[in-house]
Amino acid sequence: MLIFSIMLFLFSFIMLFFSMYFLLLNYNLILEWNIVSLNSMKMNMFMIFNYKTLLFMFLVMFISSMIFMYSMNYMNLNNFLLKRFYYLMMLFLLSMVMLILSPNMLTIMLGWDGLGLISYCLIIYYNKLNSFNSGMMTIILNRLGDSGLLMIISFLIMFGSWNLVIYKMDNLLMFMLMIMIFTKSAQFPFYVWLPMAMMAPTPVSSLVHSSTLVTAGIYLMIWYENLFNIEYKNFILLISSMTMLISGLMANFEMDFKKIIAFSTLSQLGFMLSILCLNLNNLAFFHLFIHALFKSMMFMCVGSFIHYMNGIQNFRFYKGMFYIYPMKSMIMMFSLMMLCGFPFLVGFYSKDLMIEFYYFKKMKIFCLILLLISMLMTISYSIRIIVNLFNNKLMLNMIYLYEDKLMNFCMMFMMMIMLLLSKFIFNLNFMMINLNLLQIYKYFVIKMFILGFIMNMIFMKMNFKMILIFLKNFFFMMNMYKIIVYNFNKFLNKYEMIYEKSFYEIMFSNIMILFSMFNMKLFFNKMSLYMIILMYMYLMMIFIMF
Amino acid sequence: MAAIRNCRNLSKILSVKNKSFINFTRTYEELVPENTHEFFRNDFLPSQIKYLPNLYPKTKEEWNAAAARYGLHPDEYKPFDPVRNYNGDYPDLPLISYEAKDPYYPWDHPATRTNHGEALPMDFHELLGDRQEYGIRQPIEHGKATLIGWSVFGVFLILCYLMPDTNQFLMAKQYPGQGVHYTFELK
Repeated sequence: MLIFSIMLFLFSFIMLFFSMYFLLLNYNLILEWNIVSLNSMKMNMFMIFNYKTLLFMFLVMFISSMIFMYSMNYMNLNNFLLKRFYYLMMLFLLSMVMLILSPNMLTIMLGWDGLGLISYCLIIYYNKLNSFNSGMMTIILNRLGDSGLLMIISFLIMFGSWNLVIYKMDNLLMFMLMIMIFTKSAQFPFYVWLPMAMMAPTPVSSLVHSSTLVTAGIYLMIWYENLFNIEYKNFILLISSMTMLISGLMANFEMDFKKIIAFSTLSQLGFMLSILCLNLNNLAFFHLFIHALFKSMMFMCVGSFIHYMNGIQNFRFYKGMFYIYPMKSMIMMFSLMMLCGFPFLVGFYSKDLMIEFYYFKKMKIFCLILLLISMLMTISYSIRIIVNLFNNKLMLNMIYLYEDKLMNFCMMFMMMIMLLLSKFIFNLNFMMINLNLLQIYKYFVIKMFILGFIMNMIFMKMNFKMILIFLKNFFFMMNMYKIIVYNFNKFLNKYEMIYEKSFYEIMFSNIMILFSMFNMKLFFNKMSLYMIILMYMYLMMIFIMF
Repeated sequence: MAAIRNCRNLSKILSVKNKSFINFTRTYEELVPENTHEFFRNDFLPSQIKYLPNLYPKTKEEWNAAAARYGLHPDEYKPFDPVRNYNGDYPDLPLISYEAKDPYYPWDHPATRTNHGEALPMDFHELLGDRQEYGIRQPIEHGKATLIGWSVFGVFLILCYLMPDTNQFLMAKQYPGQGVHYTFELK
């Protein structure tokens, strides 16, 4: 596995080199393979080699190589399911590459479906019923998005080709595309699956549920951004800002360490979508790139903490971790600061520009308020984590003393490359950008820290029970999904009872009872009774004939 | 051919041996509530009947006996509705899941948190594992909660619709002109 990860790492840097080369020459390579052409309907396999696709491929391969290395020590080597884990991760990588290279509506099916299915398999990796439950939630919501994709594919048969860019967009198509994007990148009504998917092992959640799978929707939106009208974009802006706000609020009150990071991922996804709605394609891609790097690193830190605490995820037990694992918690703090956009760290370059563009571009005041409040929330919960790590009141349950070198190496190496790359990629597009704004807006990034700290202090002392329940239940959206899952499970139970065990027994015994007419009044009226008699006579006739 | 030869007497066999076909010709003046349970009860072996629920209790003594059989108080005991969902004298117990029960009580079967000989609800198979969480007290019912959630979303939509756009102070767009360095008008 070590060899594989090293090879992957080298291959990722080849991709980086090629992407820079393509950018230098302004080169855009499109490979097209005609699979079937029938009555002016062309099924084409597309491969787009662009500097963007190659850069994204570099990102995915680099992160996954680090995580393969990391999971060698994280996973239990004696587990007999370990082989399956690695194969699934490789398959995930393959489907992600397929998704990146061919964003055509027909061939995206390969990557898109593969991602949903493999993520389900990885969530239920620990064979527990609780993980089954969350996996079921994930697969149901991903299927919803897939159904949108299937409908688009079947709808586009009318036009003869699956290149969505050629045609004028219809309302129906737009709706389906929106469902696809919202389910995959976990926006407002469908965001429940992401925190539930934290039942997966931590390397999985650092690769799948932070950087690659959830960005698939945004990647699709980057390609098809020009198709959306302004009205749709306003709507998406509202929804993404709501997602940001809700997930930011949730992260301030959540007590599961891993779920806090999942909520921060949710809020960042909303952030990216909102910037896409302002027609800033490159900036969204830049933030996607940077966010994937530092979020996967953050998950790796949390994972190593959990590993040493023997699988305890309760946030209260992580008090005073700084004094035991200073190196690891320093990396954690760095990544949190990057998330906040601390000046001249990784997140700063994208976040500062984005906030400036929020003030610069024209949008509804309500959306702007939501976005800025949720921006404060991110700082508030990251300060909450830092305060918890520095707390003197130790509540340690169980720890291993010896630190793991390979895990630390992965995190450190990732951080170094990240710090180098961020400014480098910033310079590709945004070197010369300068926005004319008032100084109040210009220095909002610094002001944000003070306001976020105050907000954190307020949240710490908050003790309104009903409001907390309201916030903890995703604005009560969780309950809707609970109802759906309950009914689905009920149906499954009935299905198991009837179809697997004694379907034929029940069916034919019922028929005999019908003939016996004991329960006649419940099922049949007189006409059908005559019909049955006639059919019986007819059958008898046939028998007698033979 | 042998199979077809045997089929000749099929109608005879069916009409004579099968009890149900004799009853086929029966006509009812009015609808009589009768259940399959009572009729097919005699087809089981006596050892099997011991584990089946008895007939629906009609007198008060039968009622008390049935309550005692399932280990319930006569006031607490409530069988299924005989017309809609006939299940003999089996009690209609509420669904209470594993998580809703007391973890510190010394259960006889700690895996399912049940006692020995305790009457289980009819759909007990739905409670196995932790797929369901029936019986847990919730601050707000699920239906009401979803309504509140969607109403919040509706309020957000209305607010977004009513509020004006942001108005940033921007300069007029500059275009390169001939002679002069730039103009504000597009030619």
